[in-house]
Amino acid sequence: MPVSQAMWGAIGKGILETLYMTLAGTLISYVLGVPLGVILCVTDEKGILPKKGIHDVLGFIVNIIRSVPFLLLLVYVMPFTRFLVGTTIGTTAVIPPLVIASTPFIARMVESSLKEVDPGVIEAAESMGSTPWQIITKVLLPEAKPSLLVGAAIAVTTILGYTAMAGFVGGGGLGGIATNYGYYKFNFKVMTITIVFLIVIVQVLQEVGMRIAVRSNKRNK
Amino acid sequence: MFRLENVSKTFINADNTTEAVRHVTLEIKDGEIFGIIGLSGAGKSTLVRCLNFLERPTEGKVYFQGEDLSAMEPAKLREARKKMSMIFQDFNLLEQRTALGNVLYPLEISGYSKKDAAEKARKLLARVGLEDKENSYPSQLSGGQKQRVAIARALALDPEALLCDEATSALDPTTTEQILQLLKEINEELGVTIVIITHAMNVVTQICDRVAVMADGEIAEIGDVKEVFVLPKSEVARKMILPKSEAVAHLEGNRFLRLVFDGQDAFEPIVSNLVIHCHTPVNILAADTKVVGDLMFGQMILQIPDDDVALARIKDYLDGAEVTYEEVQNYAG
Repeated sequence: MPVSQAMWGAIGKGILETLYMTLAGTLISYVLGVPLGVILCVTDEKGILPKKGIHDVLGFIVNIIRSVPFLLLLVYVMPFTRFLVGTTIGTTAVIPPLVIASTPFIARMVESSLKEVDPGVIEAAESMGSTPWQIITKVLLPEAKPSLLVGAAIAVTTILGYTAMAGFVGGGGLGGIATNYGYYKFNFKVMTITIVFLIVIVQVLQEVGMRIAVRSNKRNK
Repeated sequence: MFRLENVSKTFINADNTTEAVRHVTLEIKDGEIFGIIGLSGAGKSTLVRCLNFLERPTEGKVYFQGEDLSAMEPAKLREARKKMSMIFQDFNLLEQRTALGNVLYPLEISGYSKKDAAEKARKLLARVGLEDKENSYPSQLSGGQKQRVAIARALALDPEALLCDEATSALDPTTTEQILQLLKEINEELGVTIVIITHAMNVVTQICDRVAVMADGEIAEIGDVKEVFVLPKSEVARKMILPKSEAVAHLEGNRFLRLVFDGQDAFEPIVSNLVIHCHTPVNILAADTKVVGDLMFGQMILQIPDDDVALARIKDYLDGAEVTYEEVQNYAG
């Protein structure tokens, strides 16, 4: 059975949907995850604004959410998703669970990138009379930029993997196509094609991300 | 500039308590270069961090220009810190910023306009001799150049005091000398009070006016560098100043060299250079001068170690220095 014109059209649409979910999900997760990661880093007992209470509570929430497998989370937060976007089906409905699952993971990655910044450099900034905000915006984030970009390259591919899982519960995208045609109708060809496209997308995103990260790093020039 | 009254700093960890600084009282005067010397673990780095409150003393008071730092609100403390900048052993430059970007940092956080900041930063880089390196990143600079950038950055806000925490410890001797020279010039030109933390006596003798010798978190001795150097009172100061005992070990054997100098050579410290260069002790047994014709010659008999390698090094050195010499057997004195 050859792959029909209509099938190719569906795959093309699936690619666009996957990219939409991945990029929108990543973007929103970063908007929330970066501040969270910064708070986790600076409120640490060795951070610039140690606040044990805040650090421990946030850390606990982050760990709890990260412990729930994405597929279960996806189903579990459906009432919230319906409240937010009015439906639990389709690409946009995937975004709330995607963000809920990715934000804690991104926050942890951001935190660990920021913690790699040389404490001596932070000490120097403090000795120059920097405010905590100036240290965050002018020292921590810029100095951690290459590491943050590597983290983003990893995050975007992980989130892409999540979107494929979302396909199983009506989330559309390449994951949806693989589920509907590959799984339910057992069309091996379509399954293979979607997997190949997913591999290509992951590789491209990964490569582009890493290249930007390496290029942005002034440390090894 | 600084006055410390009974300052102590104790670090308490889960399993041990460390008294890094114990009851330090001292005064650092306006415009002087003040050294704090001690072996590692003596508490000197902690002490210097008490001066700008990077470490808050557990006890005692620190006054900067007459004002009690512990009484300051965070905002006021930040303003005070801008008047006493700091340089570090590991330079602590922002790796993702160029040399110019690093010097711009303190200006940016203090509300300078872009144009004024750039103008001032370039002037400072020129002052430390790096006008051609403004677009280089720290990873492209040598240790000495990085410390120069750090000094330019430290001077950006026209500080009253400059705190140097082992600022030359990561540098080779020549670079150390250049950096110390630069610090001295800054002290003389700008009147900046300089506090130098070091474990190296030569850093202190080279540029400091006064020195405090630290051991076990306490000040063992404090005074003018010359006084402490000539007549150290404390055990630790003596240990840091006197040459190692190996260097004054007994010489055995009967190998001798006769050195002959003409008038020109006499201006150079040949023997001391020889000892430093060859890392070998020599014993001066005799020396005199003789007038030969119109010229005056000096001669000297040196007893040297019974060691072929050392002898070869000495000969090699003397050849290089163009000193006339001969090996003498069985010098009887």
